[in-house]
Amino acid sequence: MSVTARLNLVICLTVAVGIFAFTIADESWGLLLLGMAGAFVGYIAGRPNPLAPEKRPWALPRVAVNLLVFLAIVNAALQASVFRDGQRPLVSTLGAFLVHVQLIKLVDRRTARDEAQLLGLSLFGVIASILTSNSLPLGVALTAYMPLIVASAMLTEINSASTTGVAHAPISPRSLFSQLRRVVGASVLVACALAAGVFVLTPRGIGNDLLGALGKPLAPEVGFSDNARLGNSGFLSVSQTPVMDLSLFDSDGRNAGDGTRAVYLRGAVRDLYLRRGQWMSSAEASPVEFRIQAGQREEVGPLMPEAGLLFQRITPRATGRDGDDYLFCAWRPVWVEPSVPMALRVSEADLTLRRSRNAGRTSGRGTYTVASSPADLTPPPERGGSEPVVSNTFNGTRVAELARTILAGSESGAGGGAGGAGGGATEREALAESAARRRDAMRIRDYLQSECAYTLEMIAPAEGQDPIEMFLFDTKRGHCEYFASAMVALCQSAGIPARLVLGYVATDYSPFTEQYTVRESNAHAWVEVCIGQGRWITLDPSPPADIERIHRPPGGLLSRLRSIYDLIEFNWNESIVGFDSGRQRRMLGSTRGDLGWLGNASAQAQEVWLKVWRKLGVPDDMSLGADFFRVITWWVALAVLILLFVWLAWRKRRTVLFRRLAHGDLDPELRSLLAQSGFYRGALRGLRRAGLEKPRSRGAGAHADAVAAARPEVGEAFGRIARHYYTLRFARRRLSDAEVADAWEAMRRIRAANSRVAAPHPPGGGRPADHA
Amino acid sequence: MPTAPHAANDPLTAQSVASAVPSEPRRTRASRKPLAKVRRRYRLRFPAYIYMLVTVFIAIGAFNSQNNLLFWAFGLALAAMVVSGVLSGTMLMGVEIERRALADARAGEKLSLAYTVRNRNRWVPAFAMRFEEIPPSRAWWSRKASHIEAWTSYIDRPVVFVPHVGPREAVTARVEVAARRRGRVRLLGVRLTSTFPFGLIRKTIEYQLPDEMVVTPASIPPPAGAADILGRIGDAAIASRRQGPGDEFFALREYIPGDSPGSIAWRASARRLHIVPPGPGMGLLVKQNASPAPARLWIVLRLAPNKASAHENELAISLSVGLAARSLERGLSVGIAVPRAGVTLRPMPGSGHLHAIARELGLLELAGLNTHTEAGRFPAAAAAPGSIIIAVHAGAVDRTFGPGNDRAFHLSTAGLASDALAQVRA
Repeated sequence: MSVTARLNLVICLTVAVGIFAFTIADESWGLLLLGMAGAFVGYIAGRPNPLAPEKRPWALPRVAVNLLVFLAIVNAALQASVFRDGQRPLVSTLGAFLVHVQLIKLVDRRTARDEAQLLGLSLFGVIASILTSNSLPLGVALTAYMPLIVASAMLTEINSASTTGVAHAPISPRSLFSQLRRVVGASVLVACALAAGVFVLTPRGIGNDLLGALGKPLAPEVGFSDNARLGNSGFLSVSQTPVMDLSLFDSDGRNAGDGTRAVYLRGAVRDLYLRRGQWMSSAEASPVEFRIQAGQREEVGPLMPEAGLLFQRITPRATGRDGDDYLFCAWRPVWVEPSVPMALRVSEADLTLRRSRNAGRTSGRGTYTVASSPADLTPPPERGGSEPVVSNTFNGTRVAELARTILAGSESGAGGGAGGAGGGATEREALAESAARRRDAMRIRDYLQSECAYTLEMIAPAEGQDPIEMFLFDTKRGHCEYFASAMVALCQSAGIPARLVLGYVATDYSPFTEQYTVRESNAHAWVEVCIGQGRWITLDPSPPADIERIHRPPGGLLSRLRSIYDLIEFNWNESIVGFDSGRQRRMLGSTRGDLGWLGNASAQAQEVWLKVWRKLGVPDDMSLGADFFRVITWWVALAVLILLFVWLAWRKRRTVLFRRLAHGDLDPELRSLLAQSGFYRGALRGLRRAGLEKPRSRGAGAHADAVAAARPEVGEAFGRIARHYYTLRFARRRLSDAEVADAWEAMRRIRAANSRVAAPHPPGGGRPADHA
Repeated sequence: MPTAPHAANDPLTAQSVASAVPSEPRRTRASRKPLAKVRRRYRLRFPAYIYMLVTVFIAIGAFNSQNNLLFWAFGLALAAMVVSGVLSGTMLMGVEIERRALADARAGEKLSLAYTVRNRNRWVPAFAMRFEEIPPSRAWWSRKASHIEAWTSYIDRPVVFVPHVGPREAVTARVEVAARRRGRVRLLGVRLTSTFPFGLIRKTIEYQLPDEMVVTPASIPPPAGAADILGRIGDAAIASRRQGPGDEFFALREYIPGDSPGSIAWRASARRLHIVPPGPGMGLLVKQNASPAPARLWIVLRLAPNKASAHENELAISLSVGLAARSLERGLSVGIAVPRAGVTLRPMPGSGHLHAIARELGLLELAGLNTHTEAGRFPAAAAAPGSIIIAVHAGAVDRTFGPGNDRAFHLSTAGLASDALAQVRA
């Protein structure tokens, strides 16, 4: 295959992989098909004519090219300007435009400049894909893209003069391609190593959000929403897009997750119904805000002993639709420890946790750890005691009547007291009240599970009809939000404080990663009921069988493949996408360390640095300053090491060591003969120390004669050494034992002569006496 | 080394396969030629500025968004620049160039130059190198070079592209350039340019490689009349004979030990023995044969010293070369004399002598012609008896220019139309 043909193939592959990367990131499958077809057509059109290889391949007429480009511009402008629901983001529009232009350029390659422009467009398209997504398939595509773009660029340079009428030297294509492959491979490896160093050592958390959303990938919107969708029509999403990874462990650090355990991760809480399917939270008006440093633990709930707590480490992969990101955790959260600095809003009434963007700069999503106390095992809260507000929205409605019917015959009775823990009730009565509430809530739950059917279909109510009433009295079927909303409505009607909880249920456990993968389809709604004295229990009114069917991951070969893919994707997210300052800190370690005086000096330098950091007016974020200092220290250390290596190499370039390396180009026989010439190197060292260094331009024999004029004994000894060296080097004869002994003895004489202090010249001239 | 089966017509493999030289033994410093002066320059191209701008934008986007893939992209962008600089620098450090002219060219024809590129690197191959000659105005190592008449006025600019030279290999590239006019072509140095690997940086290395070559004059075939003259000269009796490997008897000489016994003249030796007593050579005589000595032709070029006659002078020079070529083809011994330039070449036969004549005429500097009257006289060497003389006059014929006998013929360039000199610049 000629260079031109190979270049055509590699360029078309490069463009195809680049288009593949973007369409994977953007999930534009139609564009993917168009791109692959266009790349194939471009390859066919770009093949050189074997009968006239010096001519450029076929290209579209200029008029057609201009027309196509114009159409692409118009299409992109229309997509960018028309406002509609689900408006395509600007990056996606630009990326699609770049794909179209690349396809046009593939059939418009007339000069080497066109090929270089095509490669440039492809690179821009890849950047657009990075701005669109950070998924694992994109990472794989980019890994394949790197060597292709490097090879394309190099082949373009090699082929650049092929049609300019310049005379060429003959080449062997096979040899060229073989050596080019090695150069490309080495270049990619070295570039990846350097890039890894830059990636690890670049400080994180600096400049975050300074320019808005510039550079942020489009995070997929998840099934979770803090607004219950009652009254809409359609179907709930069953998308398998992962939204977070969850690790469970107990207070001893042991993994607490398994495939049989489902974990309810609460996000948003709603306790006030506004009719027509709208819920709101009564606690929204009074959040408490915290600024938590990376690695710092912040208590958000009542203090609890660690034994018995359940710890969750959560790595989010996506954001919610709303401005504030919810932190998910099992009930009840006790403390939160983020891996990145975070501004946290905590609602003390319902203990919902949100990451606030309005409270200042945050440094990204990052992993966080939450400690939770499982429901029903918590003692009464120290600062609890007051009963939550029970909404009277449903008083006098059919819902209230139904509640009374369901609870008829219960000990507490329908409309049982909203209190129970206040005003003089003894502890025994309070416990009895709690038990009664628990039973009532369960009865309501059981009623819903037995009377209503689960469906993913979202049914819109009739005009003027309340969705909950539609669910309870008309359709008697709905999704989890209907079940949960109905239960909350029935409980509140019965005077039992209850609230709607929106979040996820984690069921997909991987034994490989020991983690749960929470997906979009795992979004769920359930209920928390207050059984008195501020204690809340979790109840799920959705039919268990349906929950099992929908949320349990499928088995079989596909499931195993899925697990393997999840494992790879998990590592991708952990090591690349989720690399944050916390991980960087763990990799680079503390600058204090166990380095003795160096560690102390480093610690003192860090203290000085942090003082300067604060004086500069940077927000008081100690972990950020420390991170920056750590990274700078590593950069300085690396730079010093590199400079030291270069300096040593430059200094030592004349030494025998490097000469020995230089001898590597001699034939093996000569190299093995010269292995005997250690006496020669020793003699040269001795002469150098005595100030009689042999110049490189002078042969050994000539130098021996020159030295003999001033130091006869040294000259005579070096002359013997030179003869033996010449025997090896030029006569190519191995020295006998006697000759070797003679040579080494001569070398020792040189050293001995140099170790004696030379006697000064006698007045009037003359040579110094020769001390034997 | 095999070539690809369908690459026969590929311009990159149109010539013979790469003349790869096996790895050479390490030469000592003494055996190397003195290293030519070398200058290296680096210049950023326009794509490099775009590249740096995009890298900065990626960095800004990465820090703003904390998007880790953008950090990777930023790292790769920086690494690519480092790799580009190191790779191209290492590649070019080990490149050596030699240049030689394959043969002297004739004005109006092609001059063949061969560039041998040697890669001294042990592991790093060299790619995409462009070589071209350095004009005197760019000869940075010597101010005097700017005073040298530029080679660009004699030949087209030689440019050659070397796509690939493997480690420890050498490749020879041949280029043919049009030689526009005769004269001494002084090449000063070679410039190597490469934008490998990514086209961001143009690296230039300039080697000081002085060399000279001669573009000989174009050859104008003699007109019909002159051809007749040459024919008559050729048909004439042999001017003389000389000892040589012929069949005719030339002379006798004393026997020298080692002579072939078959060459002994027995009868003459026997007769001699009666006259001369036997001596060391036993009185033997040896026959010497004769071969015809070619007729000697002198071409005397009468040039006009004024600048206005430059074109006529060039015609005369080219006509002289054509005459010499035709004469030598006919077996004549041809000599040439240019009185005003002080050029005299004794008559000699053979095509090799044509090369010497052409070279001498190629080096004629019209600006240096001796304008003195005495310098324009007919050279005495050409007037020796036994020679035929053709005087070529630049312009009108001057019948007084000659030896004063009937052995001289006169040719004039006046009215001579020649397409062969269309490219000759006065």
